[in-house]
Amino acid sequence: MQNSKFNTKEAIAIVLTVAIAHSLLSLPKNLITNQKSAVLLNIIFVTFIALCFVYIIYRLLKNFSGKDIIDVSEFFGGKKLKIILGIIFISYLSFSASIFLRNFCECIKVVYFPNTKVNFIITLFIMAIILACSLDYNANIKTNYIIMPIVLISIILLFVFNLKNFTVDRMFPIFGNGIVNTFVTGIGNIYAFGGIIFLYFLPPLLKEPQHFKKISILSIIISALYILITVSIILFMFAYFVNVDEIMPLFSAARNIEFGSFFQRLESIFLLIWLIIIASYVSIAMTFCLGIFKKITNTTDSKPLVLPFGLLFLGISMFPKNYAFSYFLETHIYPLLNIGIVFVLPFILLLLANIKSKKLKKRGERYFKV
Amino acid sequence: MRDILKSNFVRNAFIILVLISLALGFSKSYTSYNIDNLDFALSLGLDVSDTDESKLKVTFEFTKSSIYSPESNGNEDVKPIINTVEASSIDSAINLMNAHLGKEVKLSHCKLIIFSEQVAKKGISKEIYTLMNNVQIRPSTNIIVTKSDALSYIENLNPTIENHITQYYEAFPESR
Amino acid sequence: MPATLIDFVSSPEDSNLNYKFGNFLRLIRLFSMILTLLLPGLYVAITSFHQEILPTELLYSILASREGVPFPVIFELLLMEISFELIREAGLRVPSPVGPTIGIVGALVLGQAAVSAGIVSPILIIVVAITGISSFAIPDFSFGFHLRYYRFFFIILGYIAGFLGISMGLFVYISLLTSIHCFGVFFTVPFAPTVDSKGNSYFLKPIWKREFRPGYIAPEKIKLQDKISMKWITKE
Repeated sequence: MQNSKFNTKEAIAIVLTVAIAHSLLSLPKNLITNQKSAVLLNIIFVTFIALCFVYIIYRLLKNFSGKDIIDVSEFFGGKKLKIILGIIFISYLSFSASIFLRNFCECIKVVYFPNTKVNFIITLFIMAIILACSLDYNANIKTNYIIMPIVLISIILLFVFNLKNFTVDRMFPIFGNGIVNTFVTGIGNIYAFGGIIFLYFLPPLLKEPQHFKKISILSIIISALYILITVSIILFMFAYFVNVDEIMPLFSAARNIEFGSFFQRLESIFLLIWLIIIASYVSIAMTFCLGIFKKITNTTDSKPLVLPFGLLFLGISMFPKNYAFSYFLETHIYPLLNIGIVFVLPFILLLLANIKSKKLKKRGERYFKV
Repeated sequence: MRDILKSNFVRNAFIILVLISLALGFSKSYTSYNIDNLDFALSLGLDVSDTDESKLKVTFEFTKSSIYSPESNGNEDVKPIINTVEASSIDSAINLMNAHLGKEVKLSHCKLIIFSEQVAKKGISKEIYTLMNNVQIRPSTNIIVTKSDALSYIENLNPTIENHITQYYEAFPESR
Repeated sequence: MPATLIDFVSSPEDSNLNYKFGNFLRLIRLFSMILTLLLPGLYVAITSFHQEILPTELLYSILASREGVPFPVIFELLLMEISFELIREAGLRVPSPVGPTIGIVGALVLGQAAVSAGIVSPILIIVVAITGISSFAIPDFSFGFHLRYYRFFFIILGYIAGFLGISMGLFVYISLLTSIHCFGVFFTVPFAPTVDSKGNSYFLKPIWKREFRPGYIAPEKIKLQDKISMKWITKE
């Protein structure tokens, strides 16, 4: 029943999964709606800011070698802060994964299952995720690592096969809605790198903790490349006015691939692969929720908790009554929550904890009271 | 009470119940969109209706599948089946055709969409948007605007060399 | 020796052939694994939910071959699969030297008779026959058996929910594979916990390049042969 530790490559795949999963749904469309044609410049700019942020986080976490953010909060504020922060992170992870699952199931329902209720589609997902999470040795993270290259290759194939449908002129005007919109207001687009939340919990789980810097920087770069490719597919293929009402725009892009009369309408084969990565994203979110819960309640075994957490995810995803409300949650509430809980809150906490540890060091005490 | 809940029998029975309810929950999907319950329209034609200027006359073309079986001689001359309904939009025409045929009409393999000149002059943006938003229509469907009405165009569109009309529909719009 | 996935799919003769032919055989075996597991499920999923993938001609061929068949697709597929397994099991105990041959040939003849009687469609016989034959291409008996066992789950999942069901089945299946371990070594090494296998992963290298033993099973002596084993070349 032991849980083994992660490799560097598996850790990179964990952080990448968030970017991949969200960009299969509606992330490129939201980015294009805000920035119009300057979205490529904006993403490059936001990548630099994310890289700087991740480097600062790495330096702040280096003082507490081998501890993750829950232990840092215990050091800073005692048990109460640890429990409060643990609950905040669990609720954020479950909210984002469940609402994402709900949105995706609604989109699939429109295309393939118009007569089924969406509850059954979500239940099928959650059952597979509960089964996968209850296996030991972190099987779902290894599954994620196996499937990840196949998804990346499928997106590159999508880009290459659609080249004849691209109009590169849609990239111009290059500053889109203006410089202020692109570079100042556009910093809010950093929510695309929501995978950083998993970086905070990684240090005690790594086999080679000295590679933490490499993990963080490589994962940001690869997810930025991935987001660039997906956004450019959608930007060059569809006009923005048509863009507003598309569900799963990458799916619509996959419908346009054809070679002669035999290979047409191949989007279902792409969907076969994308569904696996989405299930693995939600199962990774559940694994980390279980890990945080184990830490704040000091339990040894998290296997009996898989079923209650699965039902929690199911309940949250069935909470919106219709697609309009869950779409609103995904496009307006999720980015704000993301920026607040993934970027602002841990940054402030780590800064204050570092200041406290320096003060304690000056006084000569051990800086980690256990 | 705790012994009952812990016992393997109850746990297995619960799992089986969940699986059966899942299989039943999807039942509408796998019974209604089977390959046995579907009719595939090969082409779609749109005219102005004779009786009412604001309505459309929609033509669907189907074909018998028996000519595709390997046991057929290949010399059979099976004409495609052409059905026409009058409706105010494409979706209501599909509904009427479902009621008429008994099987559901699916447009996944529709290769041609034919507008007559009268319909085109009145403006076809509504119909184009309907077709664009339809999940089943292929993005590579060909759109043809004809001088005569669409019904007579479809009736006279017979391949001379090929036996099977689907091969003809794939080849001729792309030819130069 | 700790058994990994690669050991179950490779046969010992591969390493004695020319490496190109050995790699070709391994590719065919990989393909046969995928076919045994997924082909009936994919057939049911495509005819039930995703008819638009098929080219129009193929679709009409399937429709023509299903004319006169009284059963739905799932029922005739399960019927033919279970009778194939029955014949295979019965062929073990046929009291004659040609027992196993009667098993396979008898299955195909039975299928042809069923087609003439109008119970099943001919395209389904082809699907079942390809699945059965590819299950024989797997060298290890219990590995092939487990694939034959799991394909029934994929058939049912594909019928209920189409490609969604098959994806969920694949997700749980790969998770199950990666969670097994044998003497401390994971089953799917070197793919899942990536270890430097030193050229010993699925495809073979030429004989003169096989320098190391697989590192993931922690052998005592990792070096198999020298870097330049054909010493007579360097002397010139």
